[in-house]
Amino acid sequence: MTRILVLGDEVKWSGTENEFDRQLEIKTDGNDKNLFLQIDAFQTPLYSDLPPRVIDLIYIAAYVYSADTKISRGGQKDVFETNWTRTFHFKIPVFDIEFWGTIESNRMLCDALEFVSGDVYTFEFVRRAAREVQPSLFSYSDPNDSNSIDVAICFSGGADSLAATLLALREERRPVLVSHRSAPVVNKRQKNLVGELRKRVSDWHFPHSSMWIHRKGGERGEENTQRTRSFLYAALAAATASGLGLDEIWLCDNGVVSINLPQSGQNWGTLLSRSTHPRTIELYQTLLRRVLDSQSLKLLNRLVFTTKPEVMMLIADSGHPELIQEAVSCAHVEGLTKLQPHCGVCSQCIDRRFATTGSGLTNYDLPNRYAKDIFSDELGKGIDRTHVENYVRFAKRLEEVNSTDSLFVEFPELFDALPSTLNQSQAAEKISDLFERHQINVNGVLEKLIVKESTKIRRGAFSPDTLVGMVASGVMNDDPCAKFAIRLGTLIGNGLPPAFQTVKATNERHVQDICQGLFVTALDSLSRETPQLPFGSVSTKPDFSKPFNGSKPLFIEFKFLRNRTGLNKMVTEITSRITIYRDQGAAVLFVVYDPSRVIVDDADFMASIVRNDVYLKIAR
Amino acid sequence: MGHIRLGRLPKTKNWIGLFRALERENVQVHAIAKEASIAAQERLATLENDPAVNYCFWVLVEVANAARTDMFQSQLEKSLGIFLDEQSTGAKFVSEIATATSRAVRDRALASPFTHFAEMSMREVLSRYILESSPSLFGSSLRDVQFACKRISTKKNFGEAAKAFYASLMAKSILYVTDKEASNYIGVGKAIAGSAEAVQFQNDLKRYCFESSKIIEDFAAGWFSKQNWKSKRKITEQSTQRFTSYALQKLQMELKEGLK
Repeated sequence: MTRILVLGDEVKWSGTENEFDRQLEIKTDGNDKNLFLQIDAFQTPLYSDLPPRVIDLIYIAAYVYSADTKISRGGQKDVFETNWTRTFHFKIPVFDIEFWGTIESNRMLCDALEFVSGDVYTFEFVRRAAREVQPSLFSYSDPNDSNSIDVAICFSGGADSLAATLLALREERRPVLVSHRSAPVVNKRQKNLVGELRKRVSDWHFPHSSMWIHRKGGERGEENTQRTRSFLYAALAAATASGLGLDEIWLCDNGVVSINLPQSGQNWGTLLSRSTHPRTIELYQTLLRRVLDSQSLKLLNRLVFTTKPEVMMLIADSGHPELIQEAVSCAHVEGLTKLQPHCGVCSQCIDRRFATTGSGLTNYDLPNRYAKDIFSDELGKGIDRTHVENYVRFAKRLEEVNSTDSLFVEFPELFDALPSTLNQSQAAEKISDLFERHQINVNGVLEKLIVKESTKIRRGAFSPDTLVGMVASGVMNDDPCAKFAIRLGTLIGNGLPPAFQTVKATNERHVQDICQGLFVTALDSLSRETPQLPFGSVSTKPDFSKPFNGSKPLFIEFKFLRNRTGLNKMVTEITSRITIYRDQGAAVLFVVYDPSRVIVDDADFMASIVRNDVYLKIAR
Repeated sequence: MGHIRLGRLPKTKNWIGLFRALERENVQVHAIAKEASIAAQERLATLENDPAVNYCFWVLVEVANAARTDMFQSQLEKSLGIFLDEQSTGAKFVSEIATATSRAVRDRALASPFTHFAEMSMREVLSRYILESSPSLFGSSLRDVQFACKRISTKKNFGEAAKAFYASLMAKSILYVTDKEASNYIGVGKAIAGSAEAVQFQNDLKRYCFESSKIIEDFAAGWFSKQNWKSKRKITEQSTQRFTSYALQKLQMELKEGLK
């Protein structure tokens, strides 16, 4: 458990220091400020009348967000997530201390933050001196038509907030878009998307209220999960609503992501984000109503019963499907390019690929915009593979659920998603329908993928480390020889490269010797250099062989590809071996060890070799 | 804004048995359960004295005993802080209990995967009992809810409910560590042949933990009956602690032993 004391601006700590493991001083002003905080872009004179407690709310949200990203929740070595939950004590300045100091306000604030982050919060407030307000925090320009604005929409620049904006337009609403800018790349994406909207939609100019909030002074955050970012969004939207006299705020994400059920056994609590979870929305609304002193204020997630494919269709149905490619959904900000803004393997990217594929919108969401193509690329061991596998396994689990009741028993987390005041039965039916539609889309996409790859599946000419490899078991034939060949290929593919890490392979026999070691430790033994087979006037023998009861034997041949000149010779050898072995009614697995990457296009090479009863594994 | 944080297991001596069990051609549920319980034994042992885990079990005890009285609603209001009216359905009952329990758990311990699993196991047991006694979680009346909870309060049924609770907690705990690596062993030609088989594996593991929890069933039935007699149906949270320690200890021993 990490206990952290957070001091805001000039506040000093008078208690015992050893009560806490760490102390953070967050300064938004002065030469040594470490948190930059500024609203610009959309300003109105009305902002000058923001109640002090609303300005306090923005500061509180900024302090919380800053501390959230500053303190690590533990790394991957922390198997049992002992550092996941942090305990924060904030001592921070506010203008309206009479308001924030009440037990009720304090409780509402803590309840909301604790549910959304999974951390523990306590707050201690001191009075903020008037001079501490930065003059630049709210600087003003002059929008002409702030009077017609009727809803504030939190706008992250992803597909869901774009869909919410287009939904508002369809309902003849006049939205102001509210954004948090955390980094220049995020800022560019949001501005670009607003610009594209303005270009295409002539009857609204999409006012955009945006706020820079980020650490300053070269300090990098220790934690990138940002579970409290939605609170920052809600606070900024509340300030906008307060300034413009609005009584509706939309904080939208599709329902499956909002409810975020565990996809596998390792997901628990806030390891699954709850940014727009129905309970989060309810808790934020309760707090915001109190801060804005308005019981009519509504905080809504208008997409809570909408799946991701339906979100995509919402965009397409607006008449501007090309906007899909302008919206960036990826959870990663760094290390991606403008041409490939999506990593392809985070939960957001996977959901988006399945959504656009399932709704026939791939022309507006091209695979080459993703750094990794989950439908064709190999997924090696690790987190990326786990995200993809968990996603498809979750859809399979949902497919087996046959009623709303059993969905709630199977996923008891859903009780948190039921509204506390409205008709729970109706909400439960809608949730159940939502997940049913989700699984139909995901499983439908997988079925199409299997059909597309059916030839490869029949021939066993695909890698078990691809998405097809994870879902094709049901359609694979039960031939033990085929199964063994694929399993052996995987074993060699995984085992060979580390075996040659220190000492390089000298010749083909050396590769065979190392592989024999792998077989012995991981599989039942194979016979080496048997049987003798007639070939013209001479005889030959495979490197290894394995007989099967009730199926053809499997011969295994190793090829060590040292350089380009050896490639043609190797292909000729392989072709003649295929002839010999097929004459014997055997299947054959060729293992090509290609450490120097002589083979340029693996898929092409495989297509030229693999056929019925002929398997190939390229190892590097 | 939705994200999922994932973790992996370190390839240290402690976890090597689990890796080996996952590498076998045909993955065996009992071997996985055994290796996972051995590797995680130190952490799992701390659950024996975890007040949050114990609280979730005590809620079952309290609900069962309250259902035997004429003051089901007021009793639960007093002991668990939940408010029910005559229109409350089974779902409303479970969600009220869930919210109140989350709050109480937070007061007793910091959130951890295991306290979360204990909460979910408690919700699961209650929902199942309500469903067995009424047409639906959402169509049931408060009377149905009380009837379902009253069913838990018999000696035999309490044994079953306790068994279901601890089996679910242990299955979730084992899947929690196993699923950090399982995806790497799912696919054609691997230990688990595909996503369909992975779901089957999950179900088999739950069933195996349930079977292994048999040892808890009889003991829980006897314990519940004796404690109720001694305390006049006022079993306290403190007095369930010893039972929780015993149940978890026994269950871990069973799993570590593997197939007999």
